[in-house]
Amino acid sequence: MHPFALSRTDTPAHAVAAHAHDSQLAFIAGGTDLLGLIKDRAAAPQRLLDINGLSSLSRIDLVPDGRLHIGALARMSDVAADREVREQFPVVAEALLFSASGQLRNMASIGGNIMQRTRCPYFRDEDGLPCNKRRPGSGCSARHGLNRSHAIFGWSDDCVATNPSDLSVALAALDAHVIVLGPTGERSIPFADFHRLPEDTPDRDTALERGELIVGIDVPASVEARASHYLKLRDRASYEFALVSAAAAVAVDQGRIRSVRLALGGVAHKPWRLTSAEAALRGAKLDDIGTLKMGIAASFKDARPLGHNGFKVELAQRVALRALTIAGGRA
Amino acid sequence: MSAIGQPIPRADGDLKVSGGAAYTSDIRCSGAVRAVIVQSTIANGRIKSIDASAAEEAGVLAVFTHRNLPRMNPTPKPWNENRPSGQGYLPLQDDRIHYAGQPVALVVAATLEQAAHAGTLIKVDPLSDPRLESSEPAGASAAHPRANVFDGGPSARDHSDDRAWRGRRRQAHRHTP
Amino acid sequence: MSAVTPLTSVTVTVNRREHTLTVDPWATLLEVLREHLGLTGTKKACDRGECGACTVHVDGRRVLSCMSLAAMQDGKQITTIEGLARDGVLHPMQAAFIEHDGLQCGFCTPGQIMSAVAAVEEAKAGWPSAATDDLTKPFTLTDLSRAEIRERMSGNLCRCACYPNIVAAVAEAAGRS
Repeated sequence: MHPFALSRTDTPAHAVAAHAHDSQLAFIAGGTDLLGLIKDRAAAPQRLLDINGLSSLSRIDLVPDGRLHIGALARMSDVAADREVREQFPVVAEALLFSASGQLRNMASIGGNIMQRTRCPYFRDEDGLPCNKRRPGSGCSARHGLNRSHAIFGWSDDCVATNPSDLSVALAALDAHVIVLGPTGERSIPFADFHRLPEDTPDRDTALERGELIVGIDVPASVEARASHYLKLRDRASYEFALVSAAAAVAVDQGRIRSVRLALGGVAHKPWRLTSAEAALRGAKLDDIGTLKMGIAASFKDARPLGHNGFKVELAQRVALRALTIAGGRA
Repeated sequence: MSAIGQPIPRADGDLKVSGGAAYTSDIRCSGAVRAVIVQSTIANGRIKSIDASAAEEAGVLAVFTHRNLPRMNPTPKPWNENRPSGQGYLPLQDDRIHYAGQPVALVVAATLEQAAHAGTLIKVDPLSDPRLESSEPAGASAAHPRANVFDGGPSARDHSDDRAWRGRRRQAHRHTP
Repeated sequence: MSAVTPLTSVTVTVNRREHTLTVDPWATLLEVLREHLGLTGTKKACDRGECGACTVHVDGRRVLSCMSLAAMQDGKQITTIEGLARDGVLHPMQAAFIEHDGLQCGFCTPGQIMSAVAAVEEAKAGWPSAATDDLTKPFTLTDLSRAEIRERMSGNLCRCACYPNIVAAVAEAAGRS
């Protein structure tokens, strides 16, 4: 790795101030994405700030109103093992358990997980193939290159990469909020607004500004959260990023869908919420597969596959359907 | 002979499960320095120039390229036309690039991290030969291998009309990212 | 690139012995264990967090030492493969790996064993996995099936493909065979 300086802080305010005043400074928590980016030379911060001393940020709490608060420094394995997460928000526990490996889940923080950068092999190429995310203006090698694992929604000619975080898909489905501390105080970012579309500035993945530190994630209570499921499809049986994944959460009334939340992973620069499908599926019977398929298809009218990933259009619909029926079985 | 058919534990089992087995990179010699290979990013062509000044500033012991590495003896010529040739290519002997990943420089330093980091500072300016970057045969200008004692394999035949063979060639382009 | 970068002093306990070390901020725990402390049992294979060969325990949890900075381990208790056996007696997991021949070349073996020991502790602590059918039910050691072991060990690759024997070894050491 390139030579960098390392320091440590125990105070959120100090972390924020240090970051705000230094464009070459990066926070390090678990380091499982950051160190990989540095090794691949996709990131080269001159200074790292170890934020693991911010001990108030690692709690996992179920608040009296039913909201789940996850501290940014909570580790993936601790959140996944938490009884309340498993019972009340199973899609969150599953999304975490289907991610990474046992070792990585022990190291990786929740805040870092939603910040992780795309696995696009052109972005992560050590020799620096053209990539607008890594070097703005250099071009997008994937747009007309090998793009089997890239986006079918929301992409631009400047970038067709996907967001790799499983947890983010679950949080998007449940309308979580990202609690952020900045130089002017705290703010709460709705999850749908946290990750950006690439547009013509793919070098920016999230809505975070310099000097902002994720301190936690709030998952609101919802009638759908208990009957939820995360389904992840990948080329290998384990330890691999999603080809396509779906988070489904459903409220059922006598065999009919009262309300449903559906989000997809592996198909866009951000978790892809199937809003049209959610509206179309209201009232549908859970055992009426034909109607469920039509409802899901409503969100695929604007699917735009690339040269090598046309199969994702059909695959994503099937993954959404299966996730929905499994979630429905838990109602 | 009494061991045959018996489920005996591996002789090296104890060493391997306790971390005591010494592999090549585990062996420590006192005073040894470490070297890292810098690899070509193109598959075919020539090295136009190499600028190792930034690496040298970073405090390495030496940077070897085809310009300053001592000459190696050439591999022996085949003594019989029916035998395959010895390897014609030796690393860091000339400016030709034959494959992606081919060593183009060797960085020597006191520690592995120093050598690895210095390696990233070396600027290699390659000149690609675009005719030779595809796995597709070069059509009419491709050489047909002459028949020899190993003949009989598919590569020696003319496949211009063989659709199955064309299909297999197309598959050669696919690779896992 | 000639800026002097501050070295960092860190005090760690490795295999029950305390060490105070001066390390580069960018040195990984893996590099420091192998190069500074001479504990070469932990292996560097992918160096990217993708293979598990570098697995050690930090404060009782399995982690990847290639993706950990040594300078961030101040005050931590670290166990490597060399620290598993006590007074010359192999840990039950090490013995099980020999008994079930869960190794061939042995390069992944230290990482496999360290990962397996921790995985069994995680199961005892009631942690579910992606292979667990019903997350809402408490998980106990009796739920540790072969499929559960495979899933929990999926972060450790073995190019020799000893997987069936590794799973059998873990099952025995967990009292589940």
